Amino acid sequence: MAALAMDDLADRYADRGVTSVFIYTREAHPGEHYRHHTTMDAKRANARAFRDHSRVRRPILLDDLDGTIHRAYGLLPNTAWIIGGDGRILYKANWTVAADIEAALGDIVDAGARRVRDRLVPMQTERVGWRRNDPRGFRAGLERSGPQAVRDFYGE
Amino acid sequence: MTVSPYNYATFDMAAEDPHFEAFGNGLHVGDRAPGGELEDLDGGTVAMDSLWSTGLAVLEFGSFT
Repeated sequence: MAALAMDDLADRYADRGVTSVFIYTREAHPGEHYRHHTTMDAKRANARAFRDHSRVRRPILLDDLDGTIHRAYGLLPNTAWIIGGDGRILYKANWTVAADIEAALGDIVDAGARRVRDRLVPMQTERVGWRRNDPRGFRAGLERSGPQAVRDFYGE
Repeated sequence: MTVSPYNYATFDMAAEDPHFEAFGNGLHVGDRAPGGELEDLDGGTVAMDSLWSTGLAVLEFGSFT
């Protein structure tokens, strides 16, 4: 997770009416050091550990223990969404890529500013985006969680 | 596909892959964003729709692991 890039993006858009948050789900790869959650206190402890380790500056908000909101948004480990002021979804991505979100957010903010003048009306697109694969960083994350997380993923 | 509880104790790729395949069939751009309640790290309650009540909201879902 590129928490730093997302925090920087949040800072750049904070004064343009954009609220950015991190919604904490179940542990994607639980291990000996960061177990699956059995209580909200345990979930909160892992979220605090994440905040401190990754120096997350955005507010971290916890979903409930049953994942009610995570389920509603598709259950994937690291999705990203932009929601409009009318409560409608403007962007969805199956992975969080700060540069891709920034491109979409900049376009949305810009269009909002010149919508009337330039007679803009919304259209919808669906396209492939790109994210950098980082096997070393991913493995380091599994190792941080614990040997079990490594075994569960790689079958080692 | 095995049915696992939401907070699974061990990751199982075979159980999670279908969520990736289904993601494109779930919520779409233009749909109303689902609401609900979240907790902040101090135990306070935050309504989802309060996040976009004053403008745009950027949501990232994830966990430490």
